[in-house]
Amino acid sequence: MLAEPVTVVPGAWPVTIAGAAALLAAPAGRWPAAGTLAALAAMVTSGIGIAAGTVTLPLAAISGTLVLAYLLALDAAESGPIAGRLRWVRGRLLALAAGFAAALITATSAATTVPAWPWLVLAGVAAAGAALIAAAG
Amino acid sequence: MTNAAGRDRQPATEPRPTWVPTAHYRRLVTVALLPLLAAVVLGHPAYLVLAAPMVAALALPARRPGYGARVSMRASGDRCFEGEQVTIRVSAEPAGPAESVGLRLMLPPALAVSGGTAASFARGGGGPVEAEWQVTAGRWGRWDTGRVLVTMRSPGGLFTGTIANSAGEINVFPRPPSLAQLALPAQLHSRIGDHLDRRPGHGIEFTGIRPFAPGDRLRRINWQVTSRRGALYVNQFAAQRAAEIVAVIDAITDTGPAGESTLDRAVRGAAAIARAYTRAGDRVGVITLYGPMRWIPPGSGQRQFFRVAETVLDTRSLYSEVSPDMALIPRAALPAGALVIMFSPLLDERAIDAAIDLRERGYAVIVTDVLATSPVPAQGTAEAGLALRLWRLERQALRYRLESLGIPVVGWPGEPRDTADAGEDTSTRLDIALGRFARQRVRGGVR
Repeated sequence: MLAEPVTVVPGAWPVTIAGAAALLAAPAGRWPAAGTLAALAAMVTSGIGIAAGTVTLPLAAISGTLVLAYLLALDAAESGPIAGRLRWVRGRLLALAAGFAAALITATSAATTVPAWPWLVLAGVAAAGAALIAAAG
Repeated sequence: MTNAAGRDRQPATEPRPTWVPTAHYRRLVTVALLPLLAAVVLGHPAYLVLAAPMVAALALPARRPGYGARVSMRASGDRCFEGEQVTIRVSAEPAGPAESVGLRLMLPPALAVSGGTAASFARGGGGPVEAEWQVTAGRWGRWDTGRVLVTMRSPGGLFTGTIANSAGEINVFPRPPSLAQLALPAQLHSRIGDHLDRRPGHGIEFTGIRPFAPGDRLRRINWQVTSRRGALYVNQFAAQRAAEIVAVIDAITDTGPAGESTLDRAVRGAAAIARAYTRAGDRVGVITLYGPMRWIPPGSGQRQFFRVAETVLDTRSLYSEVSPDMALIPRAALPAGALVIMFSPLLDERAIDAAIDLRERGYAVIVTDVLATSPVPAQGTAEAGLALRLWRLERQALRYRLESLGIPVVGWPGEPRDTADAGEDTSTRLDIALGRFARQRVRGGVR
């Protein structure tokens, strides 16, 4: 997740180095925030690429999915030994697949040109609100 | 010693935990927030694509769970002696879908999981989880058996709920050292017991022959002597009486490492007295000296031993300005003619005064010095050795003072040394310390 964006955004190498250093230092110092910092470093690297125009929508989807995979692996490492690991992996694969699907759908929606229509915006906001209510309920 | 059959310490309960976001949840939110903010500020849809996987992972498990877990705990007993093991069994079953369930046993310092096994147990799949721990009671006292933490993770690992269940109390009795030789007072109680008294009575020990007197039983007539002397003579037997012993615990001062401190030895010594004498059919009571004095009147039987053992469980050294007044103790708790065996480090003048007060009131008193180690003087000073010698001289003078008042002093385990012996077995030393009084009874009486 750190190497992939820097191949297309060479100028972001300092952030990549910082993220890699956080990854390497984490086990030795038992630093809980190291994983989060490494993921944020990957996000910043990709964000710099997006701003520079070198990271396309498909590449952004792949970056985001890689970051999610890394965070899921980090959670697995912190959970410790758990019996029924196969069932746990299945659940995580489902989350990874959902994340990748969400990234693709978002990328497709972003690439599609839709004329500005207020009712469409209103429908989108209403759908988001309904989703929030359904999640909270 | 544990209860013969395990019994449910607690019926199955279904408490509701407090569900809080996990570190995984916080990481996802933190990592998703950065590109979302960039998308709002910069207006570039590609940032939304970057954040979409994290947002989907947060939304997938839906909402915060609200279910609890059915927890049941079972212990093999609620009382035991030092060094014995108690088995704690815990079973937890979540009332909803849980990714994993973990159990962790939190014990007080006096208890420890034996066998080196981990105190936590986790299982995936969300089904019922059972765990069993062998817990060793290391120190006497009344302890909370500990808490069991049941930790559940929701599907997706975004929320964790923790339930804390208390396992109740456990009474750990002091393990009494063996005491085979019993010290006895010169004056025994009038109750029937196992010890020979100087007074004639109806025991089984033959002591002599005397002329028949009205009221003597005909079965006591010694016909051989009667036929030789031409007058009635009867066999005389010694009375068998029970002794009354009162163990006094000096809890005013407590010094030394936990588990082998002066109070620990005093409590174990009192337990040894209670066990040995109740087994011999004698009556044993206990008095605890500290701010608020506590006492148990002498009684007999195994029940009395456990009454004494339960009374001493709450003994802790509580510093108080109040001097224990032995005159406040009722006669029932300190009967006349009782032998008083005091366990004290002889560091506080109030305990010494209490021993002298008892002696002056006519009780036979034995003081067992439970101070095992000498104080450690400050290193590097020329006066360090001199101070230690002066301290030892003061101890000797104190002993001489007590013995001149008719209070014998014995050391258990031995005289105070500079360092305590690691892993020393003090059980035989109590026998040695008090054994000399088994051969010659301790006299009381007003001086």
